[in-house]
Formats: sequence, structure tokens, C-alpha cells
Amino acid sequence: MPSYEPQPPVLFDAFRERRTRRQRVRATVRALDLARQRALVGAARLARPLTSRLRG
Amino acid sequence: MADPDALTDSWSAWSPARARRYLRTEDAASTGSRELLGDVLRGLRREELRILDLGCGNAQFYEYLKSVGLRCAYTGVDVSEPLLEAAREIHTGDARVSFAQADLMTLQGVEGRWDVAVFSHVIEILSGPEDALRAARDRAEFIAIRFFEPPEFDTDVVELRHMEVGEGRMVPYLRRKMSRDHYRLILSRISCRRVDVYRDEMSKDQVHLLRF
Repeated sequence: MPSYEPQPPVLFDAFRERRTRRQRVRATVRALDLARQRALVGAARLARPLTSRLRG
Repeated sequence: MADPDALTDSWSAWSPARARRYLRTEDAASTGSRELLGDVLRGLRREELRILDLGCGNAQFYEYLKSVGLRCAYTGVDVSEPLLEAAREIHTGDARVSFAQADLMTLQGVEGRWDVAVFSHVIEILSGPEDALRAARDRAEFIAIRFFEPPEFDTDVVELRHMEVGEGRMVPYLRRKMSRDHYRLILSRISCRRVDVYRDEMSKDQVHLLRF
């Protein structure tokens, strides 16, 4: 009777994370939106002391 | 292993009206991953893609491909005659489309060569995903799988569930949650060379493109 010697299974391991062109475009638009919002917030912070001084 | 005849009986039990509505109305799946799958197929950049849609149901995915202008020659295969009948009715007169009834684990009678075999929300309901993937690999250059249960579980679980097939009739079907090890073993055994993984941004769905 043949003996059964367990062998470790060979598991596949060649996965690669990808994004479609549409997903890359969306990510770029989101990044640009975020940068624009940060720029607006930054400009508002800079403008606040100036406005206060003008009112003051 | 579940009796495949019992599952075939389930998928053949759809009422004509319910077969036409399947995945088109209240049970429609994530539109985000459908778009993702369409984009992945478009990325293969073939003049006219030859698509083998395995488990095509009423071919609502072909309808989507047409609506976004993806030029393809489409062959839909399903075990369910009522769903295929609905597909034939919906796509009557379309010369680019053909349908065949076959067991997805053998694809007996489905002869030819395609650019890509597609499993769109199908792997999770098959009794033998390895056999189905091997049969697909023998007929297509690429395999694209759209998962609603991505194969990232720690353990393998297959549940027996019930679905409504029209006129209040409930029938059993399988729902599989595949472990990452099981999936990786299957990929190794069918000599897959590489898998490109695309993640849907609107759901947990994933699209995998298998290369050989």
C-alpha cells in the first residue's frame, strides 16, 4: 500500500494591484480638489489678520 | 460535493418574467464594479474583443457593454435555459451575440477560442470553481473575474441559501466565500502567471484579470 507523504501546497503569489485609466483620472481630480481646498483654507487664514487690521 | 443536478434544477426554475428581471431591478449588483469590469476589458485594447461570458444569465452585462460602446463579439453561456431564453429575447437580431447552454464546470459543447472569458458575480455560486476556471482557461487568453465576495477570507465557507425564482417559489443555491489560500492554490494548479487586481471604489467588489 503506497504511503501518503503530505507535500506543502504550491500557492500562487503573483498579484499586482492595478488601477484603470478612469480610476487614475478620478484619483488625480480628487488630489487636485484637495490641493485647491487646502490653498483656499491657507489663503483665508492669511487674509484673516489683514481683514482684522483693516477693520481695527 | 453538491449534486450538480439539484443546482441545475434551481437555475432552471426561473419563471419567464422573473428571468427577464433578474439583476435588472431590485437585485441589481454594484454598478461601480460593472463599470470597472468594462474598463478592464477595454484596457485589453483589441479591435473587436471576443468575449465568453460564463454564467451570463439574461446577458445584462452585454447590454451594459453595448451601452458604453465597447465593440465586441459576445458569446454568453449559462446552465439556465429560462435565463438564456430571456437573453435571446432581449438581444434578438443582434448578429454579434450568440448563446449556449452548458455546465460551466465542463463547458461541454462550447468550442472555440476567445480573447477573454468573463465570470461576472458567478464564481461565488459555482460548486466547482477550479474546474470552471480550467475550462475557461482552455478557451480564452485571459480570464476576468468580478467578485462580490473577494477571495480574501481566512477560511473557506460555502453556504446553502434560498432565492426566489418567481411566483413565490424558493429554490436552493450555493454562495461561496473563498479563502485566500484556496484561491492561490487554484491559480497555481491552473498555471496562472499573474493576476492584476482592481478594487471597486464604491463597494467591496474586486475585478481580477488572470494572465497565463
